[in-house]
Amino acid sequence: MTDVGYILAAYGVIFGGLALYTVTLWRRLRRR
Amino acid sequence: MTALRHEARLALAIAAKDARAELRGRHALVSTLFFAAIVLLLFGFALGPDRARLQEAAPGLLWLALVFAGILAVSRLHLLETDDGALEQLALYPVPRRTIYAGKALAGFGVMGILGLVVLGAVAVLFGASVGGAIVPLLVTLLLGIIGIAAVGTFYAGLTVRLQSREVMLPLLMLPVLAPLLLGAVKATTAALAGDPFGELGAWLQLLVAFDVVMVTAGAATYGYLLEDG
Amino acid sequence: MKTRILGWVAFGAVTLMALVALFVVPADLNQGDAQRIMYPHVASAWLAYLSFGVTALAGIGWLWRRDLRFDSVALAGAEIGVIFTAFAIWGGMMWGRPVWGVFWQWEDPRLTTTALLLALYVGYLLLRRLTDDPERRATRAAIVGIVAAVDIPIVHFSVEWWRGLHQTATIGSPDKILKPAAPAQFVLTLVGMVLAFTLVWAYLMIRRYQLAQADLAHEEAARVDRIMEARAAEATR
Repeated sequence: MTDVGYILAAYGVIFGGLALYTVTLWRRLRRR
Repeated sequence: MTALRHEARLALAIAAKDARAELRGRHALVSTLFFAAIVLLLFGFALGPDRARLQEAAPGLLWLALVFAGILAVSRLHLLETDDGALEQLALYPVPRRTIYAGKALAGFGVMGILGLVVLGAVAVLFGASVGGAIVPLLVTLLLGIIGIAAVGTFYAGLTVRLQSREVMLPLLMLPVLAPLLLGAVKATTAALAGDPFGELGAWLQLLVAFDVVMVTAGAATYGYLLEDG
Repeated sequence: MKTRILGWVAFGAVTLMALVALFVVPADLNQGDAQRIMYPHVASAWLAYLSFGVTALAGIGWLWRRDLRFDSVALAGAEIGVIFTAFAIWGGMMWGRPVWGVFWQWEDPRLTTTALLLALYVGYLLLRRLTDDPERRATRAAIVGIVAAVDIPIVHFSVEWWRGLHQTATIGSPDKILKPAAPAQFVLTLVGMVLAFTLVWAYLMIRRYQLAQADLAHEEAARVDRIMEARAAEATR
């Protein structure tokens, strides 16, 4: 993998993960 | 009698109760010894037969065996309590919580002490570790390491004894906490066996002492909450 | 309402900083572009440790005051902490491979300590699931959280010793990464990233706390329902 691959993997998971977690929180809050 | 001496006697009494239960055949010691032996044998199969490799790995294997056997030992010692509700009864007396903790940990320490000596001997034989020359630093390391395992193990065994998945929760909670102890003990053992060529033995022993002090304090301080609400 | 504003500000900040870190700040002379990974990696690590500090303190708060709101804070800290810890480890691995040549280096005290942090707090979260009674759960969690928090500095020190006594001249000496020559732009970007992440963290903590409180209320309601049903069943017997 070139460096770009690693950068994408890192940023993708971290920022994507934050977004995903935020959305799941919203959903769980809505259910309550 | 000073308060401290009174507490110490109480702790010893609690430990003695466990010791007596041991002698009456509760098998914490015996089954744990056999477990440790089996673990060592399996290590031999997994990493052998090259003697040099086993010799190099000996300190690590020694402490892995002790940690795993330690999990079993503390868990068995706490089973004694739930069997006849002894722990709850004990909690009703005006005994300071840390004393109960000290007593249970002392019992754990006793069992593990015997375990430690036996496993040390077994490792010397099975993996060719030259124990004789370094016997004093090795015993010191053993002592400090076992204090740590007993302190942490007693605490988590008390915590998990009433939980449903206690068989998996005990090691799951205990093992990460023991990581620095494992590291320190193995490094100290390695240094001791080699005659301490880099002078690092002292540093590792200091780490073990620090770990022990911190964990015994934390365990004693929080054991009370464990008894009340656990 | 204020939380919502915080949320959008955080979102904006984090997007901005991501763009800065990826496209604005120059690449490192030694590590090349891979060094850009350092920014979110370090920021995540910082917030992971902050979260667990919060969990430990909130646990003490519960033991001291017996207010379940403390426990809700502790839970929020632990769950969010686990997430940031996972990010930190992942970032560390993605950074390590191009720069060190390996995904993992045992002697990097930050990576190893963070891995242990993950183990400790996953255990914390699993333990919580096993108790239904909110007060018992809070107490058990609090003590586990405190012991875990106390263990972390010891772990860090021990791994530093481990590294220090093993000065191997590997290409990937951790020091090159942990203490890089720091031109102002790098430092500024890092600070900016940490601040942006902290805003996100604050937002997530508030929301997770609210969720925990809502869950508690729901549990309580369910318990009351069950008791009422049992009473009704008894009455009609």
